[in-house]
Amino acid sequence: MIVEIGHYALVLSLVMAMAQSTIPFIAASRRDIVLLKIAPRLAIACFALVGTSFAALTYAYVTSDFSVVNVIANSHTSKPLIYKITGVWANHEGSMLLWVMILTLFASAVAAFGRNLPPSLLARVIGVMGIIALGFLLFILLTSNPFERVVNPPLNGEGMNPLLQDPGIAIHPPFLYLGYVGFSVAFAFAVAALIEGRVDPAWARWVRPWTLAAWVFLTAGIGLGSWWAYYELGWGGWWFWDPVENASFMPWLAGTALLHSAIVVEKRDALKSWTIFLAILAFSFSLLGTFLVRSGALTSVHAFATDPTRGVFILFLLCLTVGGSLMLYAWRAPTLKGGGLFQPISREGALVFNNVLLSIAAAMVLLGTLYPLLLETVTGEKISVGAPFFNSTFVPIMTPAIIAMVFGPLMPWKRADLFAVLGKLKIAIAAVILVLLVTYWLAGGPAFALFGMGLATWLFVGTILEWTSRIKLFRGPLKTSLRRMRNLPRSAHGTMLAHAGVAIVVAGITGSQAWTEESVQSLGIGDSTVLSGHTFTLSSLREYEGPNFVAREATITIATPGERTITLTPEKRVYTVEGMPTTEAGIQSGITGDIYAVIGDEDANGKWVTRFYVKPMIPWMWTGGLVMVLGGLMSLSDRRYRVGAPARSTKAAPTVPAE
Amino acid sequence: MTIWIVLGALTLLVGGYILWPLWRGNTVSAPDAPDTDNDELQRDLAVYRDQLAEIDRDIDRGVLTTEQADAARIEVQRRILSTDQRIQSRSLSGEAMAHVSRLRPVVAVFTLVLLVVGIGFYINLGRPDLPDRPIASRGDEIMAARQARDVDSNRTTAFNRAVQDLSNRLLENPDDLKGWELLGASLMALGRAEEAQTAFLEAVKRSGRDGDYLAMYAESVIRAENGQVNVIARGALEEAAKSGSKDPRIQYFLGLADAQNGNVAAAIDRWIMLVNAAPADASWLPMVLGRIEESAIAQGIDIAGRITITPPMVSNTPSETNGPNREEMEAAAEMTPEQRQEMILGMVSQLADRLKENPDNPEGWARLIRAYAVINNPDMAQQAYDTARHQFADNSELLAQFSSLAAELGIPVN
Repeated sequence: MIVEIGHYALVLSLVMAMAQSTIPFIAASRRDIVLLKIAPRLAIACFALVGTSFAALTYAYVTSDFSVVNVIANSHTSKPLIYKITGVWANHEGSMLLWVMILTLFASAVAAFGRNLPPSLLARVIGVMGIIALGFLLFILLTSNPFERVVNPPLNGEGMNPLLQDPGIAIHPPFLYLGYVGFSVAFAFAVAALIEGRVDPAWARWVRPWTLAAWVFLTAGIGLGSWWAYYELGWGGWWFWDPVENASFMPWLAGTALLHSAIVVEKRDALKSWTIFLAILAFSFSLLGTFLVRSGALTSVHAFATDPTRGVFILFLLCLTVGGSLMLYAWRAPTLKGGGLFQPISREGALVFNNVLLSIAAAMVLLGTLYPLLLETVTGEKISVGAPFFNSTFVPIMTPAIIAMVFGPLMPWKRADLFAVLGKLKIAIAAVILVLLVTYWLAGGPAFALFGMGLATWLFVGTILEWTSRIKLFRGPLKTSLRRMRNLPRSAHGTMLAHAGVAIVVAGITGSQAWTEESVQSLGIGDSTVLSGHTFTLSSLREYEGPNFVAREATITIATPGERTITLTPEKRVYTVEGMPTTEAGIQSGITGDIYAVIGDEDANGKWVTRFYVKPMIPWMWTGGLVMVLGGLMSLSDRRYRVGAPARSTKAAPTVPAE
Repeated sequence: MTIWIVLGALTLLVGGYILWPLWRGNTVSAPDAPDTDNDELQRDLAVYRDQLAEIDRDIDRGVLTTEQADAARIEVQRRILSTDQRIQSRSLSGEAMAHVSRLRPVVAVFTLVLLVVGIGFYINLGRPDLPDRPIASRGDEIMAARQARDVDSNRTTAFNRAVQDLSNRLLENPDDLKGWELLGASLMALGRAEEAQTAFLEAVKRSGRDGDYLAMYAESVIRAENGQVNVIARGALEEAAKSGSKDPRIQYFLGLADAQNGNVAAAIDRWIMLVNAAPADASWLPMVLGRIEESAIAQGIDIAGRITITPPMVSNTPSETNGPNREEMEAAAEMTPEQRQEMILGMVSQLADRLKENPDNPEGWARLIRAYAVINNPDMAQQAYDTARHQFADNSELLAQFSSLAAELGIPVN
């Protein structure tokens, strides 16, 4: 009965979404205070129902109820409990249910925390989110129903892709969806503001934290995904410019731009129209990502055409949401009143500059992702656009953005003096020269590595300098500096951490790309090989049986140049139900880099194929990601009113309008 | 019944929760209702006032200098002024609206209608009659399946032992032709076609190349080749045909060889001759007739009136007409290739629909898989194969049949 309650709750949530996408708009246009009170209740009821339904599906998975088709297709009694639970969203139907659950969760959070918002704005925001929920609930119930039943249930299921039976990838989709769907809040606020025809101060105060929360989740989700690819796929890669990855990266780029322009709206009452546009863009990219991943268009355009029900449905939703909101934007945005004025050289100016670069970068990724699809549709020719395209477009676009990231926080609002700012950065310039010399002396190149290390140093030192200048470190007694540090708004610490995190990521990418060494060889038990000063010895092999797999585990003993001994135990597993092999790499992480070992199959001479990597600096990448997330959380905890103090004009300077 | 009480209660709960403000709202008298328009502007002012307070706090904490704070204050004060002006003009023009709309009953009725629509939608989609089937409550079924498997494997073990005994006996007494035939047939039944080949080959040699044994040998070769009629099998068949054996396998597999070489018309000719000469109760008749029909439709070959034999009941599933009937076949013969293709696709999708409604029909699934393979749609064939395997997951005999069918049609078995 629980399964059917879940199914009914899902249908009832569709009904709620229908009400939620109509009643709040009527209430807002009629300004009927009683009807306005219904709007938040609709959002909360909708979430409660989708949540019930999700819980019921989880129950079916945990109890291995094979009368549910979805459970048959994606579960097995021998799976450990944790992967029975994560199996709920490790498939198409369940993951769409998770998507909608997070959407309704956000809508009900807006409803619950939004009591200090103007009621008509709140109602319209809830209404817009209701329309999105309605679309996706219809999609689930009509094309991807997770509650389909069979009369004669089989005694066991078909299991789950073993690559996904891993803690990292298990929590990756929820984080990613929290990010994707989090942008729906900013989107709903943007559309509601367009309908209302005004962007009031409360609007700006609301959009920033929601965007920031979504950004934090998305950053964490992307980081987890690349970390998983690194340790689970078994060849040490971490980012492939794969369309699925691009699908999550585009909303991240647009969301990062949105985050920064939302700051300007909140602090300076400027860039409203541009911020609204970015909010629409960020969520549109999220929807596009969902479409690309869920329609089957990526595996091949042909697969999409043979079973077009799902794909066409999401495509329709995508066009409706993106097209509708952009049309509304074109129609209403000119009526929005422009706010504060600023000069091109100012903190606003720096933020706009970065916004533009981030948007161009997102557009390049979009082009590289969609071009092969378009080409295959039109000519039937299959091409793949890979790393060379993205590296040669993305890097030149992001380089000036990273250089400018240091200037932005150092400039005052409204107008700034570029030379004065450069003066403050003397130490950063010196540090860059020092790092370049040391890198050249230690590694001797290659050129792109020097470039990347220089860039990372510039950003890191510049960011720290800005922070120390705010607390006047070394420019007075240490006690004063500590007091100033405590008094500094948490969002300032957040900015510092997030920017420093980017610098650490850049250094990690550069170092691991430039100086990774690898070797593939066949080793008998007791044989050794030397790679980059490390002696790798295949000490022993054993076979053992896991809950739902059999594994061959190698013990690799490594003597490092520093005379330390490290033992790694890479495995090769075969999951019995699915009959699929997976590799479990053995990784030793340290501050200087990773040592990475993979065990393969037996070769014709009875030796074992092994692959070893020494990857300098690669853990920096995920450390940097973590620091970015911490920065976002720190800034999120800062709930003060934020006002940006403008710099006074010393002479009569011409100003440009903000929009 | 319990389920309907629970679902009804859930519906009432949700309906009550969302409509609660309507019921409460009637007790709020109109003058108490705040003026939402002015209210919004007042909220803006409140935000600006908070911002001013925040600037003061920033000075206290030393984050802003007095000079910066002054500049910020002036900006906020400008915004306050412009909001103030809007409040003034708004109250002068008397723009404030009524806040009790006559739409409330409409909203209530609309919501109730939606709830009823939801129940209807669920009745259409859901299976309230099906109870939960958690695996922990299905111990009996698991036991039964385990026993059945044990019986199965006991039977196989016994069978294997018998085969072993037989082959030992034949080593001592190799001229026992019936013995070799029995051994070959048993190995075929166990799915060990390669070993069956050796047994039948012994029989062929020791019988002075008897036509019937040649036919059996050919069949085992074809089975070992996953349904492909290779040169060896073909040679054996042709030799058997010359020897005058009337074994139906000879003409059937020679036809299959024709079809695999792309000459479907010749294959159909052979098969039609075979069925017309067959006794009406031959067990293999329905299978060959089915094969003829499928090939004829797929190739658009007119076979109207050429089959003179009336087969017994084709299918052992009752009454339903599972294939094209004679009129449809005749109609098909007069169509253009496009029309014919369309008709075939129509019939295939009808069959797929029928199976969706009534999936407990192994023959139907086999026919569907074959049909997809014949109309050259390997993806759908694969899909139908997977679904069928799924449907009969607990019937090992049917599963084996499906996989040999898949092997014959070249569908990858995963």
